Amino acid sequence: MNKTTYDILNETLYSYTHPSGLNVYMAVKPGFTKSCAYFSTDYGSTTNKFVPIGMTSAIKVPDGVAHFLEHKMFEQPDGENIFDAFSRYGAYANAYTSFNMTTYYFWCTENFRENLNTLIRFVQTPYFTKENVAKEQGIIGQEIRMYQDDPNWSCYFNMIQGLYHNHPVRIDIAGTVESISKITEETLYTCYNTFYNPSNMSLCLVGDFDPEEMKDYVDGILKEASPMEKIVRITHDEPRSVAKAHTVRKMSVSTPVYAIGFKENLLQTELEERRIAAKIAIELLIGKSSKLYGKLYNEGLISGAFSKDYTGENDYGFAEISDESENAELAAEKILQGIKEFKLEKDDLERIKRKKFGRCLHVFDDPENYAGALARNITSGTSLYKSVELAQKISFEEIERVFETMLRAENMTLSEIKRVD
Amino acid sequence: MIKKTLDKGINLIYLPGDKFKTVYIRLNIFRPMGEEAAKNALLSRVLKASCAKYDKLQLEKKLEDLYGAGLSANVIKCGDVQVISFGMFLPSDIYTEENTSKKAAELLYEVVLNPKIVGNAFDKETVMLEKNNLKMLIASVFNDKKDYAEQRCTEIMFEGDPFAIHELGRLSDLEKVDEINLKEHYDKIMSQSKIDIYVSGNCDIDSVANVFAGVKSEKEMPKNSVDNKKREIKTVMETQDVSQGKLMMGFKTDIMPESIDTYKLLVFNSVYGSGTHSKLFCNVREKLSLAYYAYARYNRFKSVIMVGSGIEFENYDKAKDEILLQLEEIKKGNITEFELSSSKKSLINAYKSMDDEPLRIISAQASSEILDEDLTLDQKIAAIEAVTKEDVIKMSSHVWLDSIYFLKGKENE
Repeated sequence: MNKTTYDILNETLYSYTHPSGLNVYMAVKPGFTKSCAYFSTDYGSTTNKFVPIGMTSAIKVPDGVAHFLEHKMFEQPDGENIFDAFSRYGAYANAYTSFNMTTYYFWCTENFRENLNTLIRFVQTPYFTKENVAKEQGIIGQEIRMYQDDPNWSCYFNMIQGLYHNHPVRIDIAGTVESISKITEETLYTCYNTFYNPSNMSLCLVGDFDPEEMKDYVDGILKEASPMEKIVRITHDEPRSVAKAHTVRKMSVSTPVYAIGFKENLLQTELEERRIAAKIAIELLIGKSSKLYGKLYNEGLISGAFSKDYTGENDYGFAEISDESENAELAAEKILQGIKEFKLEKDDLERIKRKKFGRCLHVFDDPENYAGALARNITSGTSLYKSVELAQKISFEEIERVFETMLRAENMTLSEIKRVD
Repeated sequence: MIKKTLDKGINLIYLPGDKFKTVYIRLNIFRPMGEEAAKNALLSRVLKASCAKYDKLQLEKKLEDLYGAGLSANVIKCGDVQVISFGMFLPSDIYTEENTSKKAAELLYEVVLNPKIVGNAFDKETVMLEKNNLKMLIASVFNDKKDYAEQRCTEIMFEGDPFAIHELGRLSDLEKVDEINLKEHYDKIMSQSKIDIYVSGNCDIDSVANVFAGVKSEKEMPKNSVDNKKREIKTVMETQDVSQGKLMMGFKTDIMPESIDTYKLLVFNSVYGSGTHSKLFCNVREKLSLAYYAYARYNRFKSVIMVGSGIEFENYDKAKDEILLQLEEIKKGNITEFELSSSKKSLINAYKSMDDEPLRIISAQASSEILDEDLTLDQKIAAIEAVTKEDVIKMSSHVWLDSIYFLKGKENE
């Protein structure tokens, strides 16, 4: 087992690869009451064309399969609802599907091993039938409708669709009522057998336990499997341009909302550095201490709902600025103006680096958040710990590159949700 | 937990915790819920945006210099009490440098107690900008249909009662606020309110506490009361351009907030609709496939249980009937050992986990202050452990349906 210590963070990570190919990570938190486990697969909504295990040609699956599969994993062969197994020990269990991963997790304050056994057992036991697939179509149908009525979610996805022509990040994670109606138990088994192979998965454990003892326990409950070859995923040709510069949808809202997206091109540098540089650059441009933020605030163009973020994986990346506003187009214009006038100052960069350092510490205070952040980093191939050091080394050039490859007028899209007349 | 009263009456509650990397500092001002709610909401925002020593940009830079300390200012409705809450979080001195926590406390002090004053008023520009922002925020409750349905149902259940007011206050009250009367209000509440300070984490508590030693606090907490009476069930239907119907059913109970029976009611609520083991989740969602979510939430302050679900418009009767049927099931005593033990274990799990989440202890402590409850975490856990199936059945007869609100789409018209 490997042991890595990160002195400035006062954290230690244990890791090893199980013979099945599963990567296991453990962080020990002495004195903590909560324990948490995340069991994740490197498979989310953006993988929709791939060569299934044991086959030679690629297939395309209906939109929303990864998420549907996530729901269906909770059903077990003997009719047992897996939530019940967690409830028996008072554990909180859930799962979610994002663009690039599906993850199953629980946290508890007692019976960690029993709960871990349940987690590993159910994720390694698929059980799909015609009837249980049909039942889920009703439930997920309501989940999709719930998101349809959410102006922020709708605005966000319209923005991504404005940015991308072909990349599957533009597809709603849950799919549509129509697309999920095409999902069958066969589709689910094909996806399960391909992506839920231990070689494509990771297990992250955080809590107050002995790592050696925990390793023995985990090894005793993992199913045997032989590591498989790398899964062939079909990539999509994505032009540099944005798909649509402006989208407007009318909804039942009292306050209009908007989201401005900037598409990142030329994804040559490592994901980890791209992410950190992008986040710092956005903070410098329109963070609360920036000139641009101050100007927008004084002109009444920023509300309490203002937010900014960067989302990036190996094959895509975009920045998002969103808010509630009556003047979305004016705000967008001023933001572009701010980008043009932006001047990088050494003091500002140093201050933001200090902030980044302070902010990254908080995640280690809650085993649940810690395990989640660990799982997301591992799936993306980044390191939760090293990114702290990397942030301190970001240079002027790297910040400038974010402006060259992403924060430009031609990379921008504006998505608006306006009132129904 | 260490609790003491500082020089001028302000209570300091300190939660030491060497295991944490984060320090939290919170200052709560307790006010009665009512007409002043919008004023208090605006005040929290104005104070955060204009302090005497630093303008908005300088303040943000200060916070960033303190290793990205986060400053929050908001209002929270706890029954008939509105809490104006100012919070700060930052890394412990151990990971940064000496006195960082103290400096953060001083900054928080500046924000709350030393605002920018022009003549005898707040900064006019700031009040105007924040008033507009707050107006939008109040209006945007309408954007989130789940929140909106819950707010509408609360209004129907508590017509004429201060609790019907949204925690951010009413637009009509906000309209009347300006930089002069807001300053008057500020002076009044700073001299006539109960104020508490909470600190958690690894820091030099004496130097942090010292910063607030001169803050004056009243002893009296604004009163929270419950007066739930049975009446004819009110049903309100509204239409909007939405694709999913939002059903809210408001139940009232006569179990008073101070009563130890509230722990029995918590278990009842969990059996009924809180968690994946609950009757609402298992039946409305899993068995009948009517919804993605169906929950029951108990509000101890006002002795109400709110049941919510997102459904197809035409499933209104089906969902409503099922929700009521599940309550009848509990009344009839149809509670399995599994339902009871899972409910208790999930509540106990939630209590025990607070040990890792100081913010939850802080907000629970604020609730205890309002309810004048003095139970330790272990005593609360023991109270949950003692609940029997008979207790849950008994509780169900103390719960009655008061109001139904349904938001549906236009095509049904």
